[in-house]
This record gives sequence, C-alpha cells and structure tokens, in this order.
Amino acid sequence: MNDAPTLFDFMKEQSGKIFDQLLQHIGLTFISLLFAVIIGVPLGIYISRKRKLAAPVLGITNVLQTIPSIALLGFMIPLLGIGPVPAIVALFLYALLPIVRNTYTGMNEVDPIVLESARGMGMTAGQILRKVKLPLSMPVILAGIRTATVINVGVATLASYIGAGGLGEFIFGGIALNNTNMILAGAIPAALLAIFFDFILSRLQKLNIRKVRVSFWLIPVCIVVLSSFYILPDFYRSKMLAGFTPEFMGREDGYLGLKKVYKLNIRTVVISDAVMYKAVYEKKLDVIDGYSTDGRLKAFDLKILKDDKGIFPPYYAAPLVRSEILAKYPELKSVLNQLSGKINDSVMTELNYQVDYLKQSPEKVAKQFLMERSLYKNPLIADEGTIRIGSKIFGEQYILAAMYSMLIRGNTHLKVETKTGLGGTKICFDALINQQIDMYPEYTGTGLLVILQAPGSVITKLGSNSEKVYSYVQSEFLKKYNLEWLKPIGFNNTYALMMRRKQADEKDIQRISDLANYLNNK
Amino acid sequence: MISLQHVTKKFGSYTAVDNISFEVAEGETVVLLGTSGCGKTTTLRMINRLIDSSSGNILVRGKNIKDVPVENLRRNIGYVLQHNGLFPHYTISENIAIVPQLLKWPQQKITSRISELLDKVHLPENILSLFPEQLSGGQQQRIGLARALAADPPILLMDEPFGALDAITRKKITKEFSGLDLLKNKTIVLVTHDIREAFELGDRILLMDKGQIVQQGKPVELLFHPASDFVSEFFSNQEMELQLNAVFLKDIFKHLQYSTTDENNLTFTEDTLSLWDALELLQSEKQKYLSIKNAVGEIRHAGYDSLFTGLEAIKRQSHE
Repeated sequence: MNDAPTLFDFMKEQSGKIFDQLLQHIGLTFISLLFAVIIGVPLGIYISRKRKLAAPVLGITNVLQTIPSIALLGFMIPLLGIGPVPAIVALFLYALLPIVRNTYTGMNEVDPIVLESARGMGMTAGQILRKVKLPLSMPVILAGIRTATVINVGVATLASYIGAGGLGEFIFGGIALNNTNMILAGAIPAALLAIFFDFILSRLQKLNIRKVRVSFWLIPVCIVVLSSFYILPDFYRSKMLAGFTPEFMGREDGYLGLKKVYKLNIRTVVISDAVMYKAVYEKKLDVIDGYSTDGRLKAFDLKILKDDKGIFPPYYAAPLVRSEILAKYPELKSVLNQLSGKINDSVMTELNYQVDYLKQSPEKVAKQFLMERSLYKNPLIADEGTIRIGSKIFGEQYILAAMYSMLIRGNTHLKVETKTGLGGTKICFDALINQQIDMYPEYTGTGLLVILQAPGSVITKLGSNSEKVYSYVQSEFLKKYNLEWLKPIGFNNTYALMMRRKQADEKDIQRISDLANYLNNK
Repeated sequence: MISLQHVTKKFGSYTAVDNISFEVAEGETVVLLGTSGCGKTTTLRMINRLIDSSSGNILVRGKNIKDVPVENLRRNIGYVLQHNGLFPHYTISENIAIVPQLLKWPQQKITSRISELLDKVHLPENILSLFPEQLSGGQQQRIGLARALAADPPILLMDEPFGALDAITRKKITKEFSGLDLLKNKTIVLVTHDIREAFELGDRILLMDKGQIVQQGKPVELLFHPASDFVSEFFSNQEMELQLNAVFLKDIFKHLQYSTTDENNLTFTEDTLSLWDALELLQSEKQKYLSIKNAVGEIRHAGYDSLFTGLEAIKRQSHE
C-alpha cells in the first residue's frame, strides 16, 4: 500500500473513463430533469388553477420524494428492467416535487392586483400566463429546477446500481474494492458537478427580472443540449449481456482476469449485487458474477460456469477478530471455532436461500441450524463485557453474525452487540481497525486481494490453493493489523460466473472457456 | 354611454348589488360613493365583466356587454386600480404599450402615443426605461392612468385610484387629475369612499349602501337635500368642509361687500374658486380679504366673515 498510486495518477490514467462517466452522469441528470420540467411545470400551473387537485398532487410527489432512492431504483427493476430507462424514471420522480411545488407556489405568489389589471386590460388567459404569470414566477420556478438539479446529480450516482452508468460506477466500485482513489475519482467530479450547476442556476435566478425572459428560453435549450450527453449505453444492441458488480469489474480475479485469461469478450454493464440475480432471471442480463453460495442461485435456477482456468482464488469464510479481544477473553476463541468445518457450500447455499429468497429472518435460520447441530444453548447471564460483531450487508453475513452471537451468548457470560449491514469490505474492515467492532466474518480471498492488496507475484504463487492462501493472510494480518483469522467455517464463497440454466444448456456452455468460445465464434 | 338596468349580483346567498339601475352620459364623471362593502366596487367591475352580473343588463355604447367578446370589451374600457397594477417586470414604456399592443397598433404609432401621454401626465421621457418600483407612488399612479388611456378608450373605470397614496400626495394628485386634458370628454365611472374626492371629481354622485343606490345627484344636492338620515349622517363628519367645497364664490357674490378699488393683488374671477379654496388662500397669503371680479368687471371683497355669511345665506336659500 506504500507504493500506491496517488489520486492524480489514478485520475490521469482513468481520465477517459472519468470523462465518459461524467458525460453519462450529466446526461442522466438532465434527461430526467427535462422530463420533470416538461411534466412538472404544466402540472404546477394546472394545480394552481384547480386548487382542489393541489393537495393530492403535492401529496403524491411528496411521498415519492421520501422513498429512499435505492428502494425506488429497486421498484423500477420489475417494471422497467435495468439500464438507463428505470434510472431516468426514478430520477424524474425525484425531480418532480421541487418543480411542481415551486411552480405552484410561484403561480400563487403573483400579485393578484397585477393579474386583475392584466384581465382588466383585456389580456386573454393564455397571454396572462405567458406574459405575466410565467415571467413573474420564473425566479421561484428556477429555484425549484435548481433544487431538482442538485438532488439529481446526487441521486444519479446510484444509477450505477442498475446498470445506467454515471460517476457512481467509480464511487461504488471504489467502496467495494477498498480503493480510495477510485472513490474520489467518482465523488469529486460528482460534488463539483453539483456545485457547478447550483452556482450557474443561482446566477440565473438572480438575473435582472427582465432578463429572466431570456433565460426562460435558455434553460430548456441548455437542458436539451446537456441531455444529449447521455449516449445510451450500448448494451441495448448486444446479443449477450453481462452484468457485473462494480467490485467485480475492477478486480484481477474478476472481469480483468476474465479478459486476460479467458479472452472473454462480452458487453458489460455495472450493476448492483442486489438486483442482478433477478435481472438475469428476467432475461435482462445473460451472464452475471455472483457468489457460489448465494441462495438466489437456487431460487432463480442459475448455473455456475466452471472456472476451468482457475482465476477465482479461494474465498473461505472465517471469523476475523481483533487480537486484544482474544487475549482479554480467552474463552472466546474455542467458542467461535465451534462453527469450524460445520458448513459446506451446499449447506450455506441452502441457508442463504432460506434468508434471501424465502425471506426468513437470519436469526431464525441461524438458530434452527445451531439446534439441528446441537450447538444451540440458552443464553447465560451476561455480565463480563461486550463483544461487538459486525457484518457486511448481505444475507450470509447476517446469518453468520447471528450464529456467532448465539454461540457467544450460550457459552460465555459476555454481552453481544451486533452491527450488521456495514456496507462493503472497506467499511467493515475500517470499523474493525478503528475498534468500532471486535469481529466480523471475512473471506480469505477478500483479505488477500482487497485488504492486503497482495502483489501479483504472491497471488500467482498461492494460486487457488486454499490452505496456502489461508496461512498467508493469517500471518500477514497478524503482522500488519494485529488481527487474527480463526479457523475457516468450511464453505468457499468464491466468485462465479452464472447463467440461466436453460440458456446455458441450450448453448452447451458448461465452463467459462465455453462461454468465451461461444462469444468469440459468433 | 353606459346603462345599468336592474343589475343584481349575488355571491351565494349574499346579495352584493341589489337591483340597481343608472345611466352615465357621454363625457360625464359619475362617482360611486360609499363605505366598504356597499357594493360600489362590485358594480364597477361588472361594467368590464371582471365580475359577471347575476341578473339585469349592462349596456355600453348601446350594446349589451354579454354580446361582445370580453377581451374586446375590456380593451376599449380604460381601467385604473387602487394599487395601479403596473407589471413589475415591464418597463414604464412597455407598461403603457400593453393595450395598444393587444390591439396590434404599429410600433411607430405606439411610440408617439407614449410620448404624448407622458407629456399629458407631466412626466419626463427619461423614466420610460425605468421599472415601476423605481417611481414614486404618485408617479406610478399617473403611469397607471396613462396606461389605462393608452388606446384612447372613450370610457374609463377607476377603482379607488388614489386610495394607496398618502394624504398629501393624494390631495395634490386629485387636484391635478381633475384638471387633466386627458380626462376631458371621457366618460368616467369612479369608485371611492373618500367624500372629498367624490365632491372634487364627480359631476354626479351615486351614494350606495347595502348594494343599493341611496341617493344620486350633484354634490350640492346630496349635501343640502339629503334624501334620508343615512345620507345626512354620511356627510355629517365633514359637513362644514364639504359645504365650503361645494359652494363657489360666484354663488355668494351677491352677498359680498362692494369695493370701489382693487386694493390688493389677490384678485380672482368669481367662477374659479370654492369657498374652501378662498379660505386657504387667505390663510396662506396672510391677507384679510380677497378681491373678486365678476363677469362684468364688478369687484367685491371677501374676508373670513363674509365667506361664512355667504355660505349661511346659500343654505337658507336652498331650504326655502
């Protein structure tokens, strides 16, 4: 990590990509803004005339605004699939409230005496709207557009979760890969973009009331021009489409390795882990990266392609614990190791299936499993101190955290606090280093590649030998971070390429090499 | 010119204007006078259809206003509001040009009309590129009038035109307006609650109460022949001042003292001043009397005492 490239190096190296993402980002923001203005301004005008409709319309747009953006994107998948369309629709919905509300307010704030004199002079309703109401409410409407723009620049980062591109690709890729430069390469342009547009629009707003008449026409033109930046990602023209997580896209044991070792040549979109299984099931995608123990594998009847050239290193799960804690509570180690060797790949897949797909609570699934294996004991009186267990934000980690918490409560007098759902590897690991948590389940491959960022020579030497990888990370972690890897739980949750079983069988694709050949031949 | 026939306006169950009828002759200024809520503004606004009447007919230049496209009706009736209603985002010249532009006048005609109007309301040309907020209240009101008269409509409706001005400006502007060339030959309906304003500007006053016309007539008639207790009470507060304003020097000329010579420089012809004006002059010029000349060159003196004796004589006369 000492010879890590600086942010400047990274940005220089990736400048082409940053520029593309920036344009996509601007495009996404302004296409949605364009629709929001086209729909929102007339809607605001309409409800200022039909007062009875104002409350329900503003209420609905208000509710839309309160839906968490990631959830809204999630709702879009079944309706509109993945890619720019659902992203634009979601952004459009967010932009609607400020625009409708401000148009409505602006219209209502026009001095009634001015309106009466306009009527009294014989202006028609249309003339009053164009010559009086719109120009006079323009500063307020502009303020709404300004708010919507800034919101959209922010929310558009999330568009990368559903394969719509934008600066979120770097931000979320960076978080997943523990790559600060990558995060900043996405976050800084996004922040500058928001500040820039906010500034431009604030200037426009403050212009002499007279010149507002000019800006009234200038703004739609600008929005249309900026919208055109978004060249629809080329995946709509693709015969086979892969959806990869931002993490997978940037990894040697991921997309980069697939390109190098398998010469895999496939169109890709960046997409969130949360939606990609469903997307492949619904034929929006053909190939995804996933985890070999993921419950959705079973739920959506997906097939793992065999890694015949061995580019995915082993990812054996084991508890990663701060050494001080083990020293302070010596009884802890044996308790945590009770799980060792108890869960293999298919058991973990089944457990994940129950949580991810059958929607049972991780605690219930964990308890049931421990009872079946006679490992469950009723909690003892907790009066000796507290163990804080963390987990990343997916089902398997929740299950493991629940199991460890039950084991500790049943076998020791320690209290347990769980801090589950800590985003990605980086967030979990930083929490551990900063002593905000005491332990979390981690994977050997992740430790090797993401946290240690081991040099290529070491990775080649270790290869796919699970024991060598385990002992390497164990000794390095102890040395560098004073953290201890306990015994592996047993399953290997490695990366895997997956396809719909039906499609794979039809095309006779069993191995990744088969996929590469299929794509290269046609 | 304007004729209201049994016009009624109801808002729900509330009757704002109750079966009123009156005529306004060409060139006449009629004042609708009354306290707030008496229906005077509603009546005015029905004439240019900002409010539609519930029943009855309104005729403008012989035509029922419901048979004329409403925009055309309004473009031919000037309208002046209390708070002038100038467009804040239009310059002064654009504000004045609104109605001519709606009527699609050629630009050159509009430009020359604007400078003509500006001259007539006594404002300099260099304000044309300013915005309304940059003008004083009195200037804004004059622009409001110029705008209402831009397309030279034969009819002018004025809704409390000086109501938003402070007392001093108001008095000045009222006086100024009453002398404006622009308003000569216009048929004017003016709404006010200000009795003095009504007396100063109105050829005829319609005193309204509870949606009905209580009495109509010349100012002097209302003052000296009130039709009901309501009318006399309405004027009672300002009675003396109103009377002094309603009576002119020519009315009391015969009650004044003869004079052989024109002894001071305050000499006036008899028909220009009201008694009130004469009192104000005596005060401001610190003189004991005015010298007044009648149509045949006869000169008489009017001092404080003789002005009041004259008024009493007029009052006695009108009650006989």
